[in-house]
Amino acid sequence: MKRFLALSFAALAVAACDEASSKDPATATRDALNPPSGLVTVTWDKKVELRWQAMNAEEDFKGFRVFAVAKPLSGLTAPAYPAGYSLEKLRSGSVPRCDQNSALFEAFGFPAIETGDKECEGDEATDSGPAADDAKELALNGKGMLVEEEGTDTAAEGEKEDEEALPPQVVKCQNEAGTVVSTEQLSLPAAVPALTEQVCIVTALADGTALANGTTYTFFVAAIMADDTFEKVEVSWTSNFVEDTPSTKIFEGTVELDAGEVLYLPLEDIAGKTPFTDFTEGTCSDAAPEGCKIYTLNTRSEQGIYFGRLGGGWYPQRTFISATAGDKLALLLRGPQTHDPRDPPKAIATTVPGDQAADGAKASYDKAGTLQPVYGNQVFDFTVDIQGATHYGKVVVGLVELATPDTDTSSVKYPITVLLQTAPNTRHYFK
Amino acid sequence: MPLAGIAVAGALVVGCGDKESDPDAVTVDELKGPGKLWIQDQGDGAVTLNWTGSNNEDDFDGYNVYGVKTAAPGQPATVGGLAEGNALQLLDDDGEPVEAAKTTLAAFNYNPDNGLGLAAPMSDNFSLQDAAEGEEEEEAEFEALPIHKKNGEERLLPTCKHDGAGKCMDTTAANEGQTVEDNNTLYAVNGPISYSLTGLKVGSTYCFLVLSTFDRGEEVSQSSSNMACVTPKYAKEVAITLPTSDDASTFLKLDFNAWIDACATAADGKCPDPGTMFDEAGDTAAHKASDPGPIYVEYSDNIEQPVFVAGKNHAIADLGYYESGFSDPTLPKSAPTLVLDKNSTKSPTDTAARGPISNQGGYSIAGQSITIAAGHVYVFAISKVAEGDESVPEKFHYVWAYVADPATGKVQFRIPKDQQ
Repeated sequence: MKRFLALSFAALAVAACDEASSKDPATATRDALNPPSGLVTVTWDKKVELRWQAMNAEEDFKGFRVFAVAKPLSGLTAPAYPAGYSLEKLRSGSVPRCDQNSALFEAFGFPAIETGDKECEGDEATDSGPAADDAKELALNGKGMLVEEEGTDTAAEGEKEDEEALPPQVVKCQNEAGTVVSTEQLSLPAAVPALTEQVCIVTALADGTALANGTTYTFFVAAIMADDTFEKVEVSWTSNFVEDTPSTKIFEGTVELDAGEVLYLPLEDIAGKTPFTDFTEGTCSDAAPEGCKIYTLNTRSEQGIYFGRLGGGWYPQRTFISATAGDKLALLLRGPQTHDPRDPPKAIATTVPGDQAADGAKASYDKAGTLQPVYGNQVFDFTVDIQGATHYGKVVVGLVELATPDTDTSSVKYPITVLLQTAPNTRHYFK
Repeated sequence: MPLAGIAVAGALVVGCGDKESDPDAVTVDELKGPGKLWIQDQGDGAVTLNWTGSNNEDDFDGYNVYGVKTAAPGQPATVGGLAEGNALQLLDDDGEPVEAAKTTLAAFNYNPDNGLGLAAPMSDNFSLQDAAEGEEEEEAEFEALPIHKKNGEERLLPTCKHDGAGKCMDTTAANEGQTVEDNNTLYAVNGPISYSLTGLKVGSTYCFLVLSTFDRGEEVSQSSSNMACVTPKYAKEVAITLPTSDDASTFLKLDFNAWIDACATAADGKCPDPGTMFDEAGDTAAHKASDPGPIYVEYSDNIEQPVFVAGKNHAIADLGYYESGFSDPTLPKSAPTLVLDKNSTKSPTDTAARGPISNQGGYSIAGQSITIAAGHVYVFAISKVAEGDESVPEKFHYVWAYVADPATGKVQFRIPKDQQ
């Protein structure tokens, strides 16, 4: 029977760590410190929630550090992300720290690595430790804080010493209750027999700047390992890199609709992205549904997202969602996805998963003016050209409630959330 | 938990017989187990197992995939006391073998010489001791044999090894014994990985779990992935000429009941082309709630597009747009359950008996039109209530349809063998 040796800190392969600068964070090899994986985001209003999978039972494992910069991943081309690391690769897999990608890590507050570390050739690398960057005169202090040797803390002024003890772009995490926790407090039990999800809600960058709606941020997470005094800190290979853009809800509430009635959200009128307080009553040339043309292509002149309900003798409870015909606005049903799979199923979407919004070509969106039946528990993507820009968003319809069941004159209530986003093609949930 | 103590104990024998081929369980600090197993049904008995790995250990060489055909079709399933969705824990928190896990793992006994070789689970009163006493040949006594290929009489384990591009491929004689230490780029796993399997029987239910391995599959992680199960469906692509105008003579009736029967009785075990089972509707008007269906294909001049319409006692759910169709990882793994409201089968103009806005599960009301849109996946809930029978059906065949491109009319179907 094979016997295994105990994993000890001293035995770990700390790759190419410069002995003279042992306070710099070294990169532990993947077999020595398991990197986080499967990092995804949840879009909040002025916040970004990060979720990743971890399996860390290393003896000296201490937790995770979350790194953030206020740039899209593609914006990290100056300084360049490393040759051989395409955006796709960065988005999907771990990255070691070595001279090949020193510039990338510099953008996240790591000290640069001296040239000469040639052990990081693509993913072949098993050793990728850093050396000190004497030119920048950075050193690791205390619990891992990076400070300039002249004494200027890179962390926000006025914060407690132990909170400062982090590299420049390491952000603080909040829990669901809004309580700030240090990333190290996200540590797992000593032994975790299965992949476990970790959660970190980010509200501000390392310098205290609050996250802003409409700004795209890039994040990654690394596991850390240290001795009890944090004199020697090692970081794992990174998680995959993710980006997200906090977004505001432009409507959240309950819409009540009577038979033969039309309501709409006028998307041409979102100056300043001020949230709407209610839908607008649509006009009808006739009170009859034929006058409202609820069951035909939506050709109304007011640009917007419409909810219309049939009246008269045919399916009087039936409701449709539609966007006005034309080339500015389009809808696409994404299915019954109104609750976060992480949460137990619930009736209405205070927590709403996103998806990969279809791209800007609009080819996959509904034919302009098409009516889709509203059955409840549905998510629709929309794309709209307004104020000189193409926006994307989601319309989420919760469970529909009929005020008086089986009565065609009874009003129906729709819990609706509308979110405006700036970009498609990223996997997001939103809250 | 003191890792050092466990590490000294190292690998722990899980099998009862201490036979050479029994797997050893390795503690999590040395070998990380896989997670998040889910299964894509590719149709006609082909499935793809997907899980997440985080394996950079020097000695890591791949994964052992264990499979079993359950005693009776249907999900959720339980195998050897392990419920679908749960992981098998071979060691407890103190690093000691879990006795119940031995029985569970023994239920996953693969025989490569017997077709696909996925055994039906043992009865509840099965004991490993009984099995050991009744079997003398060393190789045949292996309590839990993962799916594998053979090289002559030699078993090639682990079941599969990472190909460096997200696929777990059958171990070959050439790469057996290769580990991460030999080729980090190829064999290490950090993220999703998949393993394809064919030869399952449509209508049967199969359950799988995955374990990470060292030492040619003989040492396994202390915990498995969750156990995931699948009941394979038939697959068939059919070209349907979608109507382009409100000319009712071009409307179609899709007789899924006849087609489902034809699939289930086909000699080759595959669905035949529906032929005249997908035929002209033969009516002169748009269909309504009282029409028998099951499903009509019409053209709505109101929205100027082709539509599906369900007949009485049937229903349609539009699951929305999925770029990769049935392969899309975001596609729901099971159809929403239809609970048919009796009032939803009434005439739309019968004001005395108007039903709900929709049937439960997001299904349409009979007679309502559902737009046929590119990239959308639909579920047709098909009942078998005869015309004139006023009982409300509770079980349905949930037939899945993916419309890749309405212009070509090609629709991919996934057809279950049994009602649910």
